Amino acid sequence: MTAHNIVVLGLPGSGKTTFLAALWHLLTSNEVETKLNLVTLKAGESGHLNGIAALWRKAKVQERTQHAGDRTVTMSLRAGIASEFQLSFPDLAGELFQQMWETRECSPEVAALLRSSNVLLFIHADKIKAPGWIIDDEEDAQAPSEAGKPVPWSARLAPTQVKLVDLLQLLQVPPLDAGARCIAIVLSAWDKATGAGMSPDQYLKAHLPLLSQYLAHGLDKDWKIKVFGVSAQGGAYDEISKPSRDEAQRILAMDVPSQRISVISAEGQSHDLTEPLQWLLV
Amino acid sequence: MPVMKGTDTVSVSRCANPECKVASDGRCLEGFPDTSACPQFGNALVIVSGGAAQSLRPLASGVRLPHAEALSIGEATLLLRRVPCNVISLVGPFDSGKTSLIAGMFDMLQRGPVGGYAFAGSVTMHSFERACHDSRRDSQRTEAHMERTERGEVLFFHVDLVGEDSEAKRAVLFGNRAGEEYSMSMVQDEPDRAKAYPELKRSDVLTLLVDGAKLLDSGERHEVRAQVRLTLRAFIEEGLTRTWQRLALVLTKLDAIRKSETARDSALAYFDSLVLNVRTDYAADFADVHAFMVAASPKTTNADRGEGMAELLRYWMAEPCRNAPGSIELVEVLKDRAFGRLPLLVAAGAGS
Repeated sequence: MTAHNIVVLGLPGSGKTTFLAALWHLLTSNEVETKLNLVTLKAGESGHLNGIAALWRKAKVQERTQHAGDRTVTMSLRAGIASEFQLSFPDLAGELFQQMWETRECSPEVAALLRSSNVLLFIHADKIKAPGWIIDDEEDAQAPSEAGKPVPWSARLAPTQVKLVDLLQLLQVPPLDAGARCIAIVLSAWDKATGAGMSPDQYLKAHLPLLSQYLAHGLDKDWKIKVFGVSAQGGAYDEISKPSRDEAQRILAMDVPSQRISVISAEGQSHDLTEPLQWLLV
Repeated sequence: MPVMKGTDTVSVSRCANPECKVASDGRCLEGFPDTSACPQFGNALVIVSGGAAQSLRPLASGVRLPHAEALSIGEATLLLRRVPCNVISLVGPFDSGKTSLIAGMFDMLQRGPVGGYAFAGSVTMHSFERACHDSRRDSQRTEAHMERTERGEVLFFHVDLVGEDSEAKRAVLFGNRAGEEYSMSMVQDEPDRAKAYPELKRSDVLTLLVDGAKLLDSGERHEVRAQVRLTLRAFIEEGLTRTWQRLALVLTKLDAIRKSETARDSALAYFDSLVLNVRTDYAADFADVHAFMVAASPKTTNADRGEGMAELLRYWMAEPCRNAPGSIELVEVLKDRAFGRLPLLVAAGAGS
């Protein structure tokens, strides 16, 4: 059987586990039409997949992934009538990528996973940290904050786009270089961004201009990129052990859970989370 | 005898050296005929337990990724060999705004292309971010601030840019050195030291900073002008400049000048006269002399953030003059020997 690997990148809280939870529900429920179909329920880390999918169905927020690259999810899939293939992708903690930016090292296991030719890069559309300048506060006539003790620089404080550009740069040089790759950029929590009335490409250009410039000019010409807006939840979920909110109740009231999912690309809108995966594998 | 954590002592042993068999055969491994003279004899044998040995073993090493700090001269040289690159030297006294210029340029790229140039990568993003930090809200400061550049070897900030009309990347290296290192006395009094400024000779654009805030002060401004002119003169006399280099005279802190209603006009006029003086005296020593007024990281709203930076970046990114072919004067050398002075048949015998 053919084997395909996809490496999933993203800073902490960028929606990687939620995507995986919704994907597993989508593939196992057959509620909506998908480009990729599950061949068998047997999967690597099926206990983990079932656990996160159950939380997703209950409209509960996923717990932050804490483990260090030892959990690789494997699924047997098929596209239409084509032959079956094995798809594996590691559910890596976002903290690992944060550490790569800060400490300039990673474990050999993570390095090996990062040499995959197919990259799914997650960016939380509603948690983009922009560079905030002091002078802009004055221009906006905001009252300057009280003078406190200055905070020393730390790499952790860098804007989201700087960290992501660095991550992509690291994928192009030894020891992580693996030649030309395909990157599907997933702007997660897309339901929070739809108010802006922009396409995912326009949103990326407007909110992450440094990354947008780098994608256009910095990557090797053989790399392929496509941007998707993905709402894997359909709205805000409840925290575990906290009272339910109206939005979560609205989502739970939907008869077909797979219809919570929304995927936007240049080709249009669907409920099919396998679209970015299928684009990577083709 | 103090016992280390994770170790055991065996009191029955008569020598601390585990290889020594003195306890069984009576012979000292160190060769002392009288065992009491051996410094090891009589001490307890130290046995390191297996568990302790494991804990002392170094942890499995991680994979080291390329650093993201400013480049050393060696690293910058390697980069110069690999890609087309413009080298920019920033020269100015302490607090004249060198780091602000570098940080301001990177901060502007975070909003979009600058002066027709788009960002295409940087291997020094930690240093850029560190330089930008004190003008950002995360610093918890109420006013933009810039850290003093530490004295020492020159360090290079790197950025790859792509022009609107080109697909090819061009790297830029900004040589950053503490202002004190370029002080006139340092260049004049320690010529050997001055010659160790490798970034100056290789610069495509020598960028000399004029502190705008000091031009507002009638007591300081004459000193500013003297420093600029004498530093330039010292560089030229020490052979640190090249005639293919461009010279950018950059008036910094434009926001501070605009804020001062009383001294604004005189400060700007003083800068104009300074530029005129430099052009008069040193135009022949450079391919071009150009003046700029910038507010890279303004502290007040009297100037836009990054005002003037787009023009300056275009000047920095212009095709280096060192690559332009120049005309060479043809010199006729009179041959010593008469035979050598005979006209060539090909040249002289056109009618034959």
